[in-house]
Parts: sequence; structure tokens; C-alpha cells
Amino acid sequence: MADENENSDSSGLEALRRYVPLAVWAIVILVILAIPFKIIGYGYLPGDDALRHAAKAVSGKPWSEILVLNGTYKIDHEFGWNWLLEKMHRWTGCDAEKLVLFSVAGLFILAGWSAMACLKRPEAWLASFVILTLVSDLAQRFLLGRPFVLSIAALAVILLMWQRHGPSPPKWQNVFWMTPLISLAVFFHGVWYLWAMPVAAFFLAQQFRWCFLLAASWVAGTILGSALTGHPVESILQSVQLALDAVGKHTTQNTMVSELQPSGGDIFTIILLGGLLVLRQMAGLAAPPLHRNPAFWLVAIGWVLGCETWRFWGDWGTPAMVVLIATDLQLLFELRFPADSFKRLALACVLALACFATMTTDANSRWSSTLTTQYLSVAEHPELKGWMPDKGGIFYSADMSLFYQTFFKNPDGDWRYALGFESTLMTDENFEVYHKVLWNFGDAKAYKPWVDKMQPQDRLVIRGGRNAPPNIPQLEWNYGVSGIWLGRLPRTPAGGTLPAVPAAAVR
Amino acid sequence: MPNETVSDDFIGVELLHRYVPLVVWVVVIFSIVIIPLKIAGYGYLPQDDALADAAKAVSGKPWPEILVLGPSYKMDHHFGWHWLLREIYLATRCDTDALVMIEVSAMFIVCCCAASACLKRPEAWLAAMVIFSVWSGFLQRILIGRPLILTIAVLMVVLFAWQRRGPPPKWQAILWMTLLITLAAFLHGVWYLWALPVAAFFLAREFRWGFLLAASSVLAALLSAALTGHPLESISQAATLAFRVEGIHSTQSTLVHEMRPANADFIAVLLLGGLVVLRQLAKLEARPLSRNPAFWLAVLGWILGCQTWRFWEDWGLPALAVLVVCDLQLFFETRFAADSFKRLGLVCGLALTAYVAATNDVNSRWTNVSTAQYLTPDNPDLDGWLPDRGGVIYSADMTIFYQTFFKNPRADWRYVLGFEPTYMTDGDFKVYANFQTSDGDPKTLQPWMDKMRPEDRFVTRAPRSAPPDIPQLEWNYGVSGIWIGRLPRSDTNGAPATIPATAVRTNTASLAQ
Repeated sequence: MADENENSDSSGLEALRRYVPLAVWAIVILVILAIPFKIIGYGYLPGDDALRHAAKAVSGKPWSEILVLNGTYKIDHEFGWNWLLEKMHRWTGCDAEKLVLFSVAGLFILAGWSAMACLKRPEAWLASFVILTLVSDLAQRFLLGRPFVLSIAALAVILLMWQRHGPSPPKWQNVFWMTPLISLAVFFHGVWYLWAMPVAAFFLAQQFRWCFLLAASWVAGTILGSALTGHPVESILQSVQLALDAVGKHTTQNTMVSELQPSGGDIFTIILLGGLLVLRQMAGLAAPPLHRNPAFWLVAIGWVLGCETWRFWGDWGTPAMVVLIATDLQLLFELRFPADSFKRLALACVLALACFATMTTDANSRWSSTLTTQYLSVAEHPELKGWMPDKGGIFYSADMSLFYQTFFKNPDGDWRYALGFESTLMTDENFEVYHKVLWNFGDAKAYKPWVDKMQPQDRLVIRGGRNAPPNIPQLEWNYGVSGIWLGRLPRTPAGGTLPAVPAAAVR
Repeated sequence: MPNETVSDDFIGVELLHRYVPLVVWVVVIFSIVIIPLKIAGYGYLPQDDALADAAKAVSGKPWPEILVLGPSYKMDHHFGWHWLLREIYLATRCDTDALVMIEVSAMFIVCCCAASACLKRPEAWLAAMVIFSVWSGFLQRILIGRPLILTIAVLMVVLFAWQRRGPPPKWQAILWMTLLITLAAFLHGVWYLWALPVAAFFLAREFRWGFLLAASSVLAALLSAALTGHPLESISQAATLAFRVEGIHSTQSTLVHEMRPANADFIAVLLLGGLVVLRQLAKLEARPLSRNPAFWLAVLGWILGCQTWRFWEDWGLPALAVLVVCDLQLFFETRFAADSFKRLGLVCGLALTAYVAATNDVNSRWTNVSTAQYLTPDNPDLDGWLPDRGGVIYSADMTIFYQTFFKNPRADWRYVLGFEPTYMTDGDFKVYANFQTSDGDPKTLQPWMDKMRPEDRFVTRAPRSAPPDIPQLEWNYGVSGIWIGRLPRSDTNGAPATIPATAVRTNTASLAQ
């Protein structure tokens, strides 16, 4: 009897083994799904572009009606993404906040699932995520809700497919899946020229046939992606012009947006690469040598260029690093754990738990810091009535976060912003003022040209503590919401007294 | 015909191989030269001694005419360096800016070229530069334009020479070592710190090398002291200064930053671990770490650096760099033939990476001085606010001395605090130390206020909205971030010439004009 029981137990377990791969897939899919929802549950909102994309979709206005622009900017450079969000808003009627949450969760899930779909052992992707979340801000980057995550997803798929394909030469038909991927990335994200980096990486890895196919797909994808905007040539040319302006107009890099500033090089990358070499050697992994691996070369290119401009590292080098680690770990897992073993299931459970914990932990309030943000919105703060710009007014500020937050809360506001999401899109005069403000660490004197040309309907908005109103006595000031001062040209009401606190008297 | 063409092409390529080592040297030297020039192009200026050294060279004055000095000062402790800069100034008549640029570029190039020249594979130096520039302040240190860089260069040459020649050394080695250390001690001064590498050689059981280096150090200390013209004073003052620098401070918080303790450098330990793994995996025929003086110097520097940061930065870190470079050199030798094109590709990649890693302006490290504003007499806002003839600038902020002296090398006033608080008079040092330990409480400055004369000025850093709380003086917001105080003056109408400190807070608007 006992033997029979043991046999039946054993055969029962054996029967269950066939479900292990399925269970592993279910776990990794669910954990990728759960992560953004947990983070959104904290009340997380990204701090930058995702807000303005959502607000633009709700407003339905072109950028020229939202920002005071110079002559360079003619076409929306992220046309596809804004078009998609606008359609979503029309179809569902959801507000800006819901659109942001959709962007955050949708893009994260899409990137995670598409990469994992290219792996035989998807738990390797989770392990790689855990490692890089600990040493970089990968989690925050993937959860920014911006269309560059789509480019990252497309890049990861291409690198993983190369790995999966093995050493045999690729067929020319690969162009048919790479081209649509790249054209989608170009349509939604816009920066077609940056695909030169993976092309170069394949070339340096001496994967010439892949390199040729990728280059062809890049050219075709760029033409297709930009054709979808309706302005193929202008779209392509404008992207290049924007890139040149974004780095070329600044005298020093410290006035650029933070993601275009230099990174200084990431020591952990060098340590991780060393660790991979040790792992390969000790575990006897049959991985292609690093110098023949395009992911390695993309890491190297991204690292070097990142020293000059951080985004090369953040958006291209880091994802390539995730791929490199994931593929090596996949080899290790294949070597150590049979596909249908319960040990593999246990490993997947532990990795899923670790991934969930490391990504969703609210260390340093990284996901909940925006909960205390106060926005300039009459709907939320009726006391701001009269202090927001009037119809046709201009919102002057040298702080980009004020644009993001105010536009996000006032997508239908009938005013424009002197500074939007990229300072080099400002008019030359406005850019000069902005540059001077940053150069002089916010010295009030630097705002003078703006103060001189302000109209009654305009507002100047500056961040500062309650006890430190801006030293600009030409304007009257109101401590609008916590940490933000609103200035306008003085008004004298019928009673003859000033409606607000003049700057000099607050102390 | 086709075969002949192929053969010709092949021979042509083969002939090109012989030029690879030469091209590698050209690329390495070019990278070393271009890096400081690019950084200088940003408008970079170091923030400390390099400014004072250049200004002293232009002024032509001895320190007692520049600083209010206590009895501990007897002679210039960087005699050789100041003499050299003065000679350069007299030969070129360049201004302080140009002199600082010469200090920065020349020291960096000398240090890197000296290290590279000791290597069979100079690209290993570029690789080490990349590694060290991303996790340590080594690069900024050798771009600081101070004579300590020469000591670092000499130290590295000695360690590389040991690595290259191997035991046992001939006694003739004493000649070149003495010469090099004399040069370092003459220009930099701190001869006694050569005890550290001597100890490292003994700990590595390289006794013969240890004895030779000890002998060279003693000879060099005597020779360099003799070169100053005041051998005994020079030696005794260096020792006295070393004791006073640490001894007269009741807490380390009043020490200059580089003399304060540092957190133990964890990445250095990781790097050492990485070297051990590399040796094992790549089967490098390197000498064991326990027999390597560079390793022991790194260890000594690391431990002593926990107490005084300079031990790590000026001795431990260069020793670690030598260790890394030597292992990388062995690795490159095993992987790349000296004349292979792959080596050339590697060198080009390393040169590009080193250039980008070194010159990128992360955290505005090279441009943060671009916005600095200086106290200069050509600023009309400062008319009457700089010290009068024979006056003294009272300040507890060393950067005020560096920047003001740099811009006014010939000015006819002195500074109560210069490049080292130890040199202050006892009374002034007490005020300075009290001010530092009380987190800048103005009350601690009372002794200075009491002895200030009409020609003197008190200078401090504070924002426009926060003038110093010292009502005995009248204040002027001189340049951005700096307040200047002087004894109150009455103009012809009897009204104060400027805003009294206590009144400013009630009328902020007037300040914004």
C-alpha cells in the first residue's frame, strides 16, 4: 500500500511538472502587471513629460497654442504618442491623470512583456531587473510613462532576437519584423537618428549581416514612421535640428535639462561587466564572447557617450545592459534548472517576489513624493482666482516643473507658457533670460527683461519659501500655494488698497 | 596578376604593423595633452593653492607681506615651486590666470607622461584613467595645479621602476631616485612623507629596495633643503608645520578639508578584489600582492586616510593606480600582440573613453567657477569697500583669501587667514577655530571686531537677503554671495555711507535695486 501511495504521489508530482513552465510564465507576467499597479497605488505621478503629453491630449491644442515657441518647432516631434493619447481621450473621455496612469502602466507592461516573450527563461528578465534596480534608476526610468520606453522595448526585442537566433547568418526576411518595430518607435518617440547606435553596435560586434539588415530596417522604419506623421521630410529634418539645438545652444551643460547633462560614468556597470565575466568563466556558460555581442558594444557606446550626455546611457546603454545580464542569466538557469523542475518554479517565485519588492519599495519616497505637490489650479485652490494668467496671457517661469504641473492641472487654460518641455524651443529673447536665471542661480535681477515686457494678463511664477518672496518689487506677489510665488503687475482696486502682499512688506 | 595584387596588399598591411606601437604612443600622448587643454577651455580654475601660488609669483612679495603670520612661520614651505613660478612669470610676464593654466596643464601632463613612459603598454594608463575617473577624485586631484602632483609623479615612477626591473636593484638606482625625490621635495616640500613608500617596500619584504629608497629619501631631504638656501630652517619648519597642522586643532572640523578624516573607500576594496579575480581568470603572471610595495602603500594610504584624507588621496590612490595599471598591462600583453591592429583599435577606444570620462562636465566640476564673482577694485560697486593701504582682510573663509589674492596679487593689504590656519597668530587662530566650531556664530568674531581699524575689512559669504548679524560694522553686498563690512564712516551730512546691518532686514526692496 505504502509503495502504491509513494508511486502515485510520485507520479502525481511528475504529472504536475509539465505545468511548471506554464506556472513560471504566469508568475512573471503577473508580476510585471502588478508592479505598475502597486506603484500607481501609492499615488505616483511622474514629474515630467508624461504630464504634458496627457494634458496636451486633453487640451486638443497644438504646441504653438500652448507654448511661446521659436521658429524651429513646426511639427510635434512626438506626433504618434500625442495622437494616440488624444484618441484615447476622445474615445474614453478620461482626464489627464488617467491618461498619465495609462502611459505609466501601459508602457511598462508593454516593455516588460515584449522583452520576456523573446526569452526561453523569462525569469532571467526579472533577475536582471532586480540587479539593475539596485544599482541604477532603471525602475524610475521605465515608469516615467514616456514614449522612449517604446524605443527601449523595440531595442530589447532586437537584441534578444539576435541572441536567440544563434550564430547562423540571419535571413533577409528579418527586415519584415524589424522595420515595423523601428517605424513604430520612430512614429511614437521621434528620435530616428539614435538608431544609429545599435547599428554601430552590431557593426563593432562584427555581426555584419545583422548590421546590414538593421540598417536597412532603420532606413525603412524611419521613412515609414515619419510618413505616418503626414510631414515625412520636415519631421526628419526637424528631429535633427532639435537635437543640435538642445545641446548646441547652451554655453555650459549645467543649464541643460538634467537628462542631457553628463553622467560622469557609472562604476557599477564596470563592476557588473566584471561580474558577468567571472560568472561565464566559473559556470562555463556557452555565451558568445562579449566582443562579438552587440549588446555589449551598445553598453560600451552608451557608457562612453553617457559621460557627455546622460540619456545615451539611460535610454540605450542601460537597456542593453539589462539584455546582456538577462541572456547570461538565462544560460545559467538553463544549465542549472531543468525547464520543468520545481526548483525552477521556486526560483521564479523568489525572483518575482524580489523584483516586486525592489521595484515597488518607496525608498526615499520615490513613488509618493508627488503626493505633497501642490498645483496652481483654481479648481483646487479657489484663493488663486485672479492670480492665474488671464485670457491670452503668458506664464513666465524659469522652472520647467512649473510648466509640467500647471499645464497638467490646467490643460484648458487660456494662456501660454514661456518655458515648456525644452528650453531651446523658447524664443531667443526668452531663452536668454532663462539662461541668465540659471547661470545666476535664480538671482532676481536676471528676470528683469521678462518683468519689463509683462502685460497685465501675464504672470511670473517663481519657487521660494513663504518667508522669501522674490526680490522683484515691480510686481505684486501672492504666495499662491506652498513653495510657489505668483507675481503680476500691480493692480489698484476701487478701494485704493493693494489686493495682495507687496514683496517688500512680507518680511 | 590577382595573386600578385593580393600578395602586395598583404605585404603592405604587414608593413603597416610595424607602425602600430608608434601610433599607439602618439595616440596616448595626444590624449594626455588634449585633456587638460579641453578642461582649461571650459574656463576651469582650481579653487585653492594654485590660485595663491600664481598670485604670489606675480606679486613678488614674501608671505609675511601677504598674510598676517604667527611665529610658527619661518620660511616659504613651497620655496622651490614659488621660485619656479616667479621665474616663469618674469620670463613671460603672463597674468595669474595664465600662470594657473600653466600649473594645471603642465602638472597633469608631467604626471601622466611620466607614468606612461615607464610602461611597455601605455594604453594601460588610459584604461586606469577611465576606471579612476568614474569612482574617485584622482583625476581632479592631478588637475589641481599644485606641486603635490610632482610628488605623485615621482612616487609612481619609483613604483613602476620596481615593477619593471624587479629585485634586486643595483646601488646605482640611488642616483636617479635621489634626483627625482630631491626635485619633488624641493618643489613640494613634504620630504618626511617619503617614509610611507619606504615602509611599503619593507612591508613587501623588498628590503634592498627599501634601503635604497630610504637612503635616497634622506639624501633628497638634505639636498632639497640645501637648495632652499636655509637647510636647517627648511627641514625643521616642515616638521613643525606637520605637527602643528594636526596638533593645534581641538577637533578635526577646524582642519582644512583635505586634512580631515575620510570615509574608508569601499570601491577601492572592490577594485582590489577585481584585480585578484582578473589575475586568477586571465592567469596573469603578476607578483603576489603581498610582495608588491604598491599594494602595501595602497593599504597604508587607505588606513591612514581614515584619519587624514590626504594620505589616501596623495599616496594610497596613486599606488592603487600603479597596481591597476601594471595588471592591465600584463593583461593587454597576453591578449594583444604589440603590433596588432586590434591593439590599435583598443587604444583608440580607450583614448576616446578616457577623453570623454575625464573632460565631461558632470556636476559642473569644471565650470562651477565660471559664475564665481571676485572682489576687484575695477568693480565700481566696491569703491571704498576694499581694504585701504596697509589694511587687513578679516575672514574665516579660506576661499575669500584664494580668490581675492588671485585677482589682486599686488594689492597693498594682508589677509588674516591664508592657505593654512596653522600659520595664523595664536589670537587669530583662536577666533577662527571658535567661529568654525560654533557653526559660524558672529559673536565669536568679537575679538576681530574689537581690533579692526578703518582701513581693515571683514569679508564673509552670505546671500543677499541675509547680511551678517554684526551691527558694529556697516555692510555692502559687494558681489553676489559676499558681504563686506567696515567700521562705520559718516559722510559730510553725517549719515552712514551705506546700509547698516540691522536696518537691511526691514527694507529688502531697496536691496533689489
